[in-house]
Amino acid sequence: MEGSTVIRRGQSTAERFEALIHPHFDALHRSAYRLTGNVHDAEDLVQEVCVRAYPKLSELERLDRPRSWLLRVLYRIFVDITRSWEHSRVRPLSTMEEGDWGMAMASSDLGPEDLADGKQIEERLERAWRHLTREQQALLGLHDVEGYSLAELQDITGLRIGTLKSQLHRARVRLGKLLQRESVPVTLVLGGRGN
Amino acid sequence: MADCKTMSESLEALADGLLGPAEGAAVKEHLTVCDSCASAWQALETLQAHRSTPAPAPRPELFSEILRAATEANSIERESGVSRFWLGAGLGGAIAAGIVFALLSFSPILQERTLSTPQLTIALNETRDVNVAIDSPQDLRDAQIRVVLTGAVALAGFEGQSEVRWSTHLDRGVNMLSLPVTMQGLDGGRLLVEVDDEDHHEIFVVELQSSAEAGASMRPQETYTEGSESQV
Repeated sequence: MEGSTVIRRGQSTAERFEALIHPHFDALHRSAYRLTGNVHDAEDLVQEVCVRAYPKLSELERLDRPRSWLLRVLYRIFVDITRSWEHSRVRPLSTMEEGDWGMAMASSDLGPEDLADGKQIEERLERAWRHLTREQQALLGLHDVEGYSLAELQDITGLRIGTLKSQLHRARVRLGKLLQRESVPVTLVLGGRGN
Repeated sequence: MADCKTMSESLEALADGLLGPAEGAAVKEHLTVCDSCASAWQALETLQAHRSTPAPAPRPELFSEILRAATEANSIERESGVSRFWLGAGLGGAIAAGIVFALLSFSPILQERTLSTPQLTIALNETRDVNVAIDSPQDLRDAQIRVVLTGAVALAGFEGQSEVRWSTHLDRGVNMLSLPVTMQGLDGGRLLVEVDDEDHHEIFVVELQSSAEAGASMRPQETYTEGSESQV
């Protein structure tokens, strides 16, 4: 759901920018966190989106859905940071800093047993996540975790639905194999979610 | 009979409990015979569990900090035509993760330069990322990067090679080059990173020592800036 922006006469550029960004700020931060896996990088990513949005203020004020634009920019920045790696012979073992998904789990309201299991899963996911490409992290983070639809993902990434489906599948296969490579075996549950 | 091409949506529907008994059974049967789709299913379940872990709320002061940064950055860009954002981001991220961070600058915005050679200690056979930030004043379509390794220094994934070269695109601003370095002996060695294009030539050298102690830490994190050198 897009937040609404109210523009008042006499506002300075900074005030207009604040009014434009504020309704979308939490969503941007959450998406950035899902992609990067840690608060520090998420903050940097959101900041860069805002830096790039600022000179486009007038254009953004005319948009019905500025959040889509902001998410598109967030996606592009996130992916392009390591674009040079895509064509390199050398790739980093890890393209992200130490994450804090396990810590986030520790601060949730779960009971001790669920907490221990959940923390283990989060930490394993965090390790596997580092070995995905940025595009894979973005697609899985936005679609499978944040719940953006394929249509929304098409708008954000510029990729066609068919391409998104196949890339999502490949990203999941890759992540699943990486999870299996981690030391703790995972039992496949062939049922509905939560079974 | 389900097939892999249609499995992406089927797995989502299965996870969301949206498949009927017959469709669900077909997908589950496919999962028992297809490793790839079983992996995708495992990832999907893990991610959906991850979804229930709340993302932390932004720090209360973050919004105002970012607004200020956006305003100032655009003011700087208007005045100098140079974006400085990723300089700050790279430094912060590297320090937070305890990763050595070096800065190779093509840009005139970084006036302060030191010629000291950073020295690092990495535990024997341990792989640590050495991050080199290459600050470019403009997009460079065909920058040449050369990494030279001496002594016991090796690049994970390129064992046995003392030199790795490639050409790459450098964006305007700071580009991160993460090198997974492993010490394969106790003799120490050097890591040299050279970046070249038609108008620029920069070299950065790191002295590396190995320690027999597992988990040996590197020196306190520092940022190095290195000036141009004409030859190795």
